[in-house]
Amino acid sequence: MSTPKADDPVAARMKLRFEVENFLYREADLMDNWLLDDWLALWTEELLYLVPSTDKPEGNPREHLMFIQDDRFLLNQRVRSIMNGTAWAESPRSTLRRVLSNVQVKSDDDGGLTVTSNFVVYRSQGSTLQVFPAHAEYLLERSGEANFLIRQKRVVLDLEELRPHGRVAFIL
Amino acid sequence: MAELPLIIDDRETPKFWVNRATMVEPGILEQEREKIFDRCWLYVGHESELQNVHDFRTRRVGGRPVIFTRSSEDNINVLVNVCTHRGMILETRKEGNGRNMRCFYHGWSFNTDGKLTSMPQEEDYPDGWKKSERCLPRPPHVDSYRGFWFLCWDKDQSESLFDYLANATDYIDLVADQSDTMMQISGGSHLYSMHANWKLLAENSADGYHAMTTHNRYIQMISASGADFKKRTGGGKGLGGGAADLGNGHAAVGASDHSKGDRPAGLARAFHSEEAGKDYKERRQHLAEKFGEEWTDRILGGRNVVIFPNLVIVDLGMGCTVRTFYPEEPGYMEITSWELSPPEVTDTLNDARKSDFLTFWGPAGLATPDDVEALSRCQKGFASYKIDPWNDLSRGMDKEHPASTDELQMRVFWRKYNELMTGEAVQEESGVYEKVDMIARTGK
Repeated sequence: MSTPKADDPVAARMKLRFEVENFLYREADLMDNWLLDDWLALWTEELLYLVPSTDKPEGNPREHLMFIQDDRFLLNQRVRSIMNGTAWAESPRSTLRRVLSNVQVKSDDDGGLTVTSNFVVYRSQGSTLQVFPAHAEYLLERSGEANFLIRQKRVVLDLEELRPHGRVAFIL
Repeated sequence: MAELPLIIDDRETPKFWVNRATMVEPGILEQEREKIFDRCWLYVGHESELQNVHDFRTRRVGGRPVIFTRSSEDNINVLVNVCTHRGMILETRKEGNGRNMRCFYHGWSFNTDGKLTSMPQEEDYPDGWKKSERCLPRPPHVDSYRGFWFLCWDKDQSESLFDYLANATDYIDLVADQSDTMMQISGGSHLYSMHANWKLLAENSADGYHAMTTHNRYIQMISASGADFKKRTGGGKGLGGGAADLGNGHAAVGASDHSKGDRPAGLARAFHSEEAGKDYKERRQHLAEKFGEEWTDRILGGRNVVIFPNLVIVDLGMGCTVRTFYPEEPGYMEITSWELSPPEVTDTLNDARKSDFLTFWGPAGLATPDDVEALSRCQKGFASYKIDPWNDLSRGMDKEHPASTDELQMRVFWRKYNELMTGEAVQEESGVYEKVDMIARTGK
């Protein structure tokens, strides 16, 4: 897409952030509603989906023990198992609702956009309610007018321990 | 204590039943703390977590706060992490490096040998009062085996760590021998939990029987990756291999890998590239030159080891996890897991190990969350324990060579548990250790 060359740079930035926010809101809706095959379509073919361990939020896959380091194949498999009901930890599926905020476009150049956001997922199952506060960093590629694809997503849980939650088997 | 026996170990039928009251009754947990966690050797940490002088890690072991640290004399110390003045937790950081630890309450400072070094207004203490009597306490017994450090809170414990570990040392050797220097715990750990009794995780950690059902989604992933799962796991009936009673309540399931292949047997997805295959074969060759073929076949096989009461080492060739857990309540345990790997492997193999580790293990892996779910649902089911109090662990009880998909490994745990809780002596299922895939070590 051609970046709008508005006379007013503030208006241009607002428009870009509006477009990015709409994209992230759409992503959040798909995750909350378990429309994960549609969610997978938001990614580039080559992808990296990272969640570091709670005690090593700056961790990287080569040096540290992460929670998740999925490539395209593993993310497909993760989604497949959730959708076909063999991910027992989410079968039956829990009720999810996330609140997304503080969206910032950190950089925007030929290589794509770097975007950060904060979010909280409320996960309810039976009589239990779990809260997962987190922040995310995206590397987005432009894909047509006012649309994007995710090349990389790194979600950092704002928890020091995954206790008492115990596990994350839905998509963060 | 429950009115019924804790276990029914019937050799006639045969059958082996475990009383679900042990999973839910608070009175039993109190006794477990006293008779098991205050008496057994417990895992503290791995030496590789303390690379430099004055490195420290704080954690709880058997419910008590400790500092695991390397002193200025390069000694590994385990100190009680509680100020001797008024009992405040001394070091609150999870890890770090520091010559001194200072209690902020009144400013008492201790060094990494636990010595009280200074406090404000020392001159106001009476004559005859000695700083040297107010050092940080230490567990009565601290010892290590090949980098794995343990403590024992029982001052009357007369069994050395080496004797306590019994034949589990054989399996620790299989892990430790994978590095020419020392196996290395990676930075970052999995700090998670289960709403389940702690003994369920001791059972689950070496349970070959649940793999094909509970971990069906993992099996689907492995199959989709192109790995020949059936060929590598005994016709797809289970994970292959046998089970061994290692003595003292420790047990293992495992198998050797005689394939001499270019990737780990069984559960590996990330080792498929040509480069990884080449590196893996070179590594195999190095191990074989050093240890001989038989021991190498065992190293590169796989094993799930449960060291009584709460240390688990699962080493499946493509990755190794070290896991410990402790009951906060009858129905809730905290779990910590680490990744252990040989630091000298190529980046390609290291990347493959770390990737494969996470496909299975960890609270966001493709397997562990389903264990968390399964064990939590068992715990919920135990609400009916007064209607049917019995869990059944009889599989393979009539076999001369129980398989990893049988339940010998759980029976070994529960017999030791019963012995410590009731004083009834363990009666082993005869001769199992010698008969299961045990090949004598061929030298170093």
